[in-house]
Amino acid sequence: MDPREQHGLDLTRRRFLSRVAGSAGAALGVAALHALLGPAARAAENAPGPIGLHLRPRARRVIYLHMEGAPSHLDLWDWKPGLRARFNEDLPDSIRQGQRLTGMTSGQTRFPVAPSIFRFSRHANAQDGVWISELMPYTAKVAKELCFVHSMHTEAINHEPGITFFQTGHQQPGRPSFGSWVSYGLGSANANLPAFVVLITQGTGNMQALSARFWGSGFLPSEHQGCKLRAGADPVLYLHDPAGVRRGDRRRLLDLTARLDEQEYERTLDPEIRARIAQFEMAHRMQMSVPELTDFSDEDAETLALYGPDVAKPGSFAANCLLARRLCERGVRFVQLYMRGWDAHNNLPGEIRGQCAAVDQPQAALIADLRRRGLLDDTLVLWAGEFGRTVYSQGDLSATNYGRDHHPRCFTVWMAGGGVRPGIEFGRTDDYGYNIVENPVSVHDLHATLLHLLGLQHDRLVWRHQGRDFRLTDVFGTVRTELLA
Amino acid sequence: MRRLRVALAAAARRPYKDGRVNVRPLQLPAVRLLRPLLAPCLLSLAACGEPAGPSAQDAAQPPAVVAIQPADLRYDRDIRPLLSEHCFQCHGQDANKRQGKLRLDVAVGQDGMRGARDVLGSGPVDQSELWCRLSSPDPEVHMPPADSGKARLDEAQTALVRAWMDQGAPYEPHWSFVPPVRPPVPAVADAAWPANAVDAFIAERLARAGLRPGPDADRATLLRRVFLDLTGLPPTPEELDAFLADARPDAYEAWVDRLLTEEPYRSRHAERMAAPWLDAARYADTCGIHTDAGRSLWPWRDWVLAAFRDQMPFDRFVTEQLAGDLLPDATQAQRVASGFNRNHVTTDEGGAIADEYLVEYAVERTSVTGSVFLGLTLGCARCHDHKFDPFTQKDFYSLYAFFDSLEEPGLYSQESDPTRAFEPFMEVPTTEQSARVAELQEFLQGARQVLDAPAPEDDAHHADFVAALPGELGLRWSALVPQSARSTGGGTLTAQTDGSLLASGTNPDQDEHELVLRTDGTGLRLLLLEALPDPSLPEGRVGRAPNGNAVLSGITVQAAPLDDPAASRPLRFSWAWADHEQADGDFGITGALRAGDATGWAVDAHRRADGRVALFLADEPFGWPGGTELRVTLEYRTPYAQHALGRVRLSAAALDEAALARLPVAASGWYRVGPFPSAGPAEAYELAAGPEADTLLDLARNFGAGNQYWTFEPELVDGRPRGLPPGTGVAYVGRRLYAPSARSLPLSLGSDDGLLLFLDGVKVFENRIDRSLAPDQDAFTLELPAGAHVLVAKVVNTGGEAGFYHRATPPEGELLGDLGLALLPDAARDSDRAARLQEAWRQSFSPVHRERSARVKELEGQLADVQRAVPRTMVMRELPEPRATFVLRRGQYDQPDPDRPVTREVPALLGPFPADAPRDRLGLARWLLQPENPLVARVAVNRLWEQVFGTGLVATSEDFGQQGEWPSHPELLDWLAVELRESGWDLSHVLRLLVTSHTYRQDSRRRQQAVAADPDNRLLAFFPRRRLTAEQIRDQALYVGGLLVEQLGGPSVRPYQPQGLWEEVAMPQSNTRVYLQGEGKDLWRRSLYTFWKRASPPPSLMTFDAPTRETCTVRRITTNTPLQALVLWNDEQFVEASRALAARTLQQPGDDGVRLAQLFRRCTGRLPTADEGAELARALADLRARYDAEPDAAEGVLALGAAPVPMDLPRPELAAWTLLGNAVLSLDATLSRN
Repeated sequence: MDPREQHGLDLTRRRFLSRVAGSAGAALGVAALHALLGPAARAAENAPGPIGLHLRPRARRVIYLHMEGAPSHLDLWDWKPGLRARFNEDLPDSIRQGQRLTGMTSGQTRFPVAPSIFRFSRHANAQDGVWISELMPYTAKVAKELCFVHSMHTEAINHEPGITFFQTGHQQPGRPSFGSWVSYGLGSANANLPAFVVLITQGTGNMQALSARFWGSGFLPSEHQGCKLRAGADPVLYLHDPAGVRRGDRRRLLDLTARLDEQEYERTLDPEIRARIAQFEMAHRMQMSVPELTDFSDEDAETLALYGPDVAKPGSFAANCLLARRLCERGVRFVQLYMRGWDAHNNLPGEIRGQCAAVDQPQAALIADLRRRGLLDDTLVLWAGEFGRTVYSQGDLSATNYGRDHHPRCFTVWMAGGGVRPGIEFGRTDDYGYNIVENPVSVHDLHATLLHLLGLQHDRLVWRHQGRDFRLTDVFGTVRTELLA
Repeated sequence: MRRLRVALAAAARRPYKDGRVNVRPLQLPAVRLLRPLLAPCLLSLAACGEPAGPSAQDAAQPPAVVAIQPADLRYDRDIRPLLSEHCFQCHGQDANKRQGKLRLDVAVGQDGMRGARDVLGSGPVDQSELWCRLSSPDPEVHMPPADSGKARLDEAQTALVRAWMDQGAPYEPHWSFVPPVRPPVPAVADAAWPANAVDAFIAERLARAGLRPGPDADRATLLRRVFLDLTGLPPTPEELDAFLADARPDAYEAWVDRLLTEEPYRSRHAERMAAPWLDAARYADTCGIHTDAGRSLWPWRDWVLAAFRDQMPFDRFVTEQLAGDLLPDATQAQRVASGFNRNHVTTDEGGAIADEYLVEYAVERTSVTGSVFLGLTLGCARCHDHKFDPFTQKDFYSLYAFFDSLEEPGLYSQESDPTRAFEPFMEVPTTEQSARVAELQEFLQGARQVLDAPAPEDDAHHADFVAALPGELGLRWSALVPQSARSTGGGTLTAQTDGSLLASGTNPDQDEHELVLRTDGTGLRLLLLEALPDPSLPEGRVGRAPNGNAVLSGITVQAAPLDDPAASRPLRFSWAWADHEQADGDFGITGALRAGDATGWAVDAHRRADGRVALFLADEPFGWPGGTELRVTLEYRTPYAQHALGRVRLSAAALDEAALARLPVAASGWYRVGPFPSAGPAEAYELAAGPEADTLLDLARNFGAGNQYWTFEPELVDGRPRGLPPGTGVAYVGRRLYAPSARSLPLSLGSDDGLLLFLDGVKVFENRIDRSLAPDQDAFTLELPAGAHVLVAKVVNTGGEAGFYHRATPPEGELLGDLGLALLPDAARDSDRAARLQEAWRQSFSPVHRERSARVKELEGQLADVQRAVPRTMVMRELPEPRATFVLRRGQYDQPDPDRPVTREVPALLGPFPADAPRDRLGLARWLLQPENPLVARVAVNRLWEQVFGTGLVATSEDFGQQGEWPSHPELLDWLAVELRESGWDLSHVLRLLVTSHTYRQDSRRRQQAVAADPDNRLLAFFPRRRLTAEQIRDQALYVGGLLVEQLGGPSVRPYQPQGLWEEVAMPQSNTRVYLQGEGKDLWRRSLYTFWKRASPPPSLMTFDAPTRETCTVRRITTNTPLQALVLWNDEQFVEASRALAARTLQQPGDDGVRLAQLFRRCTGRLPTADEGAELARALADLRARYDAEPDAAEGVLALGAAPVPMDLPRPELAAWTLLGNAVLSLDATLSRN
């Protein structure tokens, strides 16, 4: 080739790659870019992604445990001892303030107070201790690591808009999810795995729907969408070659396509072709790295015991927590774990027992495991549902049974690691756990704060779509510095 | 004149065309490219002025060096983008956010507002406020302020603005808001090159950039290109040969004509054109939210296909989709077209608030109209005035008012039928169906006339029957005389002269009426309750609820001899009958037999006036000689507040024991629990989830596994086959039965698949079988002792669909239905009841009637069968009176601003509403299509351009507003827009111009000189090579493998998909919870027919950048990811297609070389080079050796896919070719069009 032409092509190729890295190919991500540009361009794990960091990051990755269906803050984290004496009393109008109700309880003529039937006890933290329900004994043991926010509130009163809002900053479908924004902002730190991984555990309680939009990329390029890692033989869709195709066979085929594609490149000089060659190579590496990732046989017995017996069941919350840790170790930026089944409109005590039995030990184990491996410092763990639940009973109230409707006005989330202030409680609700009386935190605030910890300024992480710069926090959001370590 | 020379390596901040906001060279059309020799002296500016942050990668970009002459400066193109990006947020047209009483989007302000020229002043520019604000180093003075989040203008940008100020800050309207006028076609130096006007514009622009068009593509490449662009499928080797052999000068144009007008190409072309339209219209097969229910809108898709196939003019295409329902004498097709505006997501989430979603739906329709037809981001003005474009919030709601008066519920009900059309909908019968329906209706009308004709011989028989019955049954009625009565809830019960008790006064939510009555009768078994209407009750009905209705939840009776009150004993009732029951729930009379639960007998009195009667059968006779006192408690304890009966009279009757056999078995409605999934078909029979042992049908019992309870199944009706939610496992249906006496009850059953019956917890029937549901598959006689029972059917599903069918055939002579009226005392049988009794008697006992009604039933059945098969589709239908519309504060559904009502109006900027047009969507369509509209034609031709050349003339094809991109060829865009309109809105005409242009026929090899000057190839100095779309990639694989089943239109199909994807995300009650893979040709249809579940869209299409179809997508972004390789290698669809490709190659004569060339050419449209051929041959040799040595491995390769494997081919050989075929299918040359 004429050296001048080669020079021009190199220029355009670099231009192309920079564009690819920024937009059309970030799943190829930083690492694939390195592979193409040669060793000189290789950088450390924390090289800036397509956007580049705006701030010094405290967290490199996120594990987001989403409790789908909305767990009751009143039965788990936000103890209201005074309610025992108010069993079956009508919720005072001064508390309810006539705000809107879901279609499920708006026809109810009474709103009887249902105190939690569960016992709470105090556990040491960085302040004067935190009261935690008997349903979460393991989690209580890592209370020193946890930062509770009791004053979360949201705009939605139903699951679909509520989860969509929590995941995308907007109630209606169409916007990119939190993980997609992080993938876009930070890129991938592993050449062999996607930047944003989604895990799903089926619960035992009343289940709500999930939707691909919760981890979708909206108008961001589709490589930023969450890659669902499934329990079972094919953790990533289409990962396994057909029977009768061995790794060597795939290698042989890959060599063939690479050589033919290279000739096509010579023929057309289209840089997309070389990108494709690299993508195919990465797919081949994924075929190795993903089974390794999901194979727990290299975990020692103590670790497996830490997560509890369910860890041996693929797809269980325990197995997914351990998988989340392994993903983080391998540089995945954003792991989102959905636990379904928290929507306890009736029979809350029975349902919540089952749900807590599934999550308590594994989530505590995840914190402890990250801590002892030195990963917790730069891994941010978030535990949250899409809203809280009402203090009044939905349906029949008895001494042993009650249900709770959706409650967007306040609920509790907790975080750990990744630059979050450990061992504190933030925000306060009234004696009924119904209204916030101190330090309200909106979902946009939470997003802004988490992005801040990741080194991204929420008002600068933007994407131009239909003439407007969109962001995760819409036109809202304040970084809550009180939550930072 | 002073020459202004500006280096713009880091000039205007502009959006990337894919949306990422970043720094890039100013778009080419905005500035003139200079020869590279100017570069060295200007490079120094390239590094300056950029803020830290997201810009690192741009350092690698070659600087584009440009200069601009003040004479060329255009406000619209060069200045407004800068002001819009940096200034308009605070100094634009959004009055709420405006700062400092200054707007820079106008030259001169009004109403105390300053404009740009007001702050420029008339003195020296250096001293003007405008210049000071831009140029001052003082952060207190400088604009935009540091805390605004807006970047400062850099040096180059500042220079541009300064030049504009020096000219006196001239303004001009935004180009796209000015109607297009056909510009002259430019003269071109090389007059031989242009094939049509398109080329003249392209060549002229290239020349201005110092570039020339590139060489032509070879003919084979060109043919594959145009095949893929117009039909979505590549040419066959035969078609290639025919074209290559065709020496006529217009051979190519002839092929283009064939592709657009001749079958099969014409239908393929329609499918190709429809795909992007489905994205824009956000078509999907599910509602998208909560249960993500399936819905029927595919007839709208068929309409789109037909429109493209028949080359419907674009004005009709727009009008019928926006307002087909409003056209005078709208045809079926035109009404179907209006489904365009029903494609949006809808909710069926239980707690959702209907008003909120009504607003969301109307907002969605308004925004999509803006995006799709006008290329405007009108949705931005929902919450506030548009920040960048001259549209106010009021403009938005004025337009919204065209779309918010649809006859629709905001919150849709949940139903189990996944093919349901959500209301409003219409039926779309085929011509044959319409004819058959008309014919059957005519027959039926005749048969009904015969049925209703008098049959005098019946009357006497009937009178005999009524007269004889009391004697046959030993029926003797006695009055029950009220002694006292009270309401526990505080109401007043007053005895009336006719022996009834009338309630008045307090009406508590829940109540009991306790009546004390006396009778002389003995041997009593039946208790009669007459619910009487009374003028004092609401609406003069029988109930006390405000709507006149009532629900009786229980009746208990304590009986005592008058002479021995201590011998009091309770009566037990385990049979009942009523003359009328409310049908929209389990409201039958048997619900009143169990006091204490929430079920009850609803009398439907809000719908039907007049009285009601009910009979209760006591288990034992009651009534002592010497008189009896009965204490009767009527219980009204249900969730329905105040639903008590208002006026009740009771009487009792004796009945012979033998007469009990004449009373039919009473039953509750059917309830369902489950399905409970099992690990596999074998485990399904063993799965016992608990209901089989149920002896109570306790509605509060939680059966676990995701909280399952018995729930009423209204659609399960005796005598009608009923589907149950699909999936391997078990589901249970159960009901309560009440037998007046012991008897045998013959049942006729059906199920999918196996069926077990349990009576009171004991298994009485079992049939282990795999079958599809049909009526009357099993016959079984149920032995019922007297009294109350629970019958539970366990339906075992070993895979796929599930269902249940049940019908009881009671023996002749039973007093079914209204025949029960014969039991009443004569006084209780008014003329209406007497007529009903006579009709019931006729139905059961008249031989004349039996024969006539059998004919009617047969015809009704036939008609129902035909009507069930008639497709339905969702359409627009206006409310009789439009809703009042207001501006919503901050866009909130519950914040209408009463001071800001709006009427249906359009933004005046885009042309006046036609004076004689109706103020509805039809008028709106006329407004869009009138010549004064500056946008519609431009947006339409731009989309065609994008489809053919990859990038639109306006790259932001969804945004022609001020934030959108300046067109690369403004004159060409206008020329094409006028051409479209003046051609009679003929899209094919424009498409033909594009693909027959010389520009289109260029080679796609990247040319170094052109790339250096025009990195994005916007000037088209060579043809832009592009990866195929998701649909094209799959369709091509099926096609070259010979698998593709071509059939235009029809319902969506379910091709291969990895197992469990839907179940992972769906709600247990979703009717799209289980993916039931299709069979046969459903596996191999074109991809636009693949069933689109929004919560879990087709995964392999998603991997190749198909959108989720939740919102309007005008432009797809193309990515390049490893997951794409995995799909190509391992998706069953692609492995199967590879095998089919291999098989058809091996079935052709020839040696390896010939066959390899053939296979390669099928996929890429060209023959392999010698090098490529050698590579393929080497790989084939290796694979052959591999599978010859290991035939078992070959079997593994061949195992996937349902297409038959030719048995005459050696298996290892076929395996080797299959993998080779797969490699070729995944070549970039196959996946792209050159």
